[in-house]
Amino acid sequence: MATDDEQALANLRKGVVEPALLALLRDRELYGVELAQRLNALGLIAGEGSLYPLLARLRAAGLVAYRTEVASRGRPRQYYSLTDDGRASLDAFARLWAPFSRNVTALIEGGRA
Amino acid sequence: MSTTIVRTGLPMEARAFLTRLRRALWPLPEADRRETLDGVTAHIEDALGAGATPASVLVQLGTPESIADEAAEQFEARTGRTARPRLLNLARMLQFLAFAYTLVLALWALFGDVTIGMHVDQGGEVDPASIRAETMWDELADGTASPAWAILLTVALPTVITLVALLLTGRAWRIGMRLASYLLAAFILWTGIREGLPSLLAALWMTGPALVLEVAAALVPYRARVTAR
Repeated sequence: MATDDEQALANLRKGVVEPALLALLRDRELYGVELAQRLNALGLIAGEGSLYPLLARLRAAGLVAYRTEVASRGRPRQYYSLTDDGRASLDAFARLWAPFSRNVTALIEGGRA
Repeated sequence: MSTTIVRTGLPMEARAFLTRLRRALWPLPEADRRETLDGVTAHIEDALGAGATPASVLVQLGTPESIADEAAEQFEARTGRTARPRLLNLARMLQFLAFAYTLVLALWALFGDVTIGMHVDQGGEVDPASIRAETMWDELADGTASPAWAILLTVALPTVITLVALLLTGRAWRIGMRLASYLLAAFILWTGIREGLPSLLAALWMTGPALVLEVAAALVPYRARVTAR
């Protein structure tokens, strides 16, 4: 059932898309299209457009900042980067995620937990 | 070619996409609509500038409605408010009062407003047996007031306008209440121009309060409310 799969995937995405976005920005800033394409390729957003409402909330929460760079053609492009709060939020998630994902994986794959 | 498009404006399908997105974002405050629209617009310009076709860029974005759903969800997560107006809110209560007022006045005009009717013969003599109290409904029924459809329409029009405005939902509801205000104002003016000052005063009395209520409904904030989540 494709729709059941989609629903399951949508539920999974909800919890991890935010830390995944922060993790993509950990090492370098990215502009919108790059960020959208990478999240989409990883199956973490349903469509590239749904990145922008998410970015708006993370910016409002102070986890992500952006700067506008005027490209050579004169078209401004927004680059998104991690703030200190964003980095702290990502680290906090990573601490929770390691045991959580280990336990769930073990459970799903054969009950060795 | 794509450079020209990016500089002078987006291709038509991209503009249509953004228009649909702007409409779908209607329940959100302006700043939130702006931020999502700006992000998506910049995305489209960037992707087209990099040589992608408009069709492929738009397909990858998802539908405007799915983006707007995501924006509503993020707005709710951020503020703890819902981005969807309640079915029963202050604006709709004001609209209900407007409808109730016009309905009561229309019924009163038809059945409650008693005038003295009499039959006057060719010589100007009043037939005493014909003198009776009658309502507009009696006059319509016995054909002394005509054309009946025009009178009924005039009496019922404000009621119909306020009822339709009350029953609309979603975006059409917001547009409908503004349209209802214009129509009621036009109705008052039209009555005055067509039938003179006494009718203008009657129309003002019958419809003016409903107009004020519809205008108030259009002005009260409706977008987001605090919810216990």
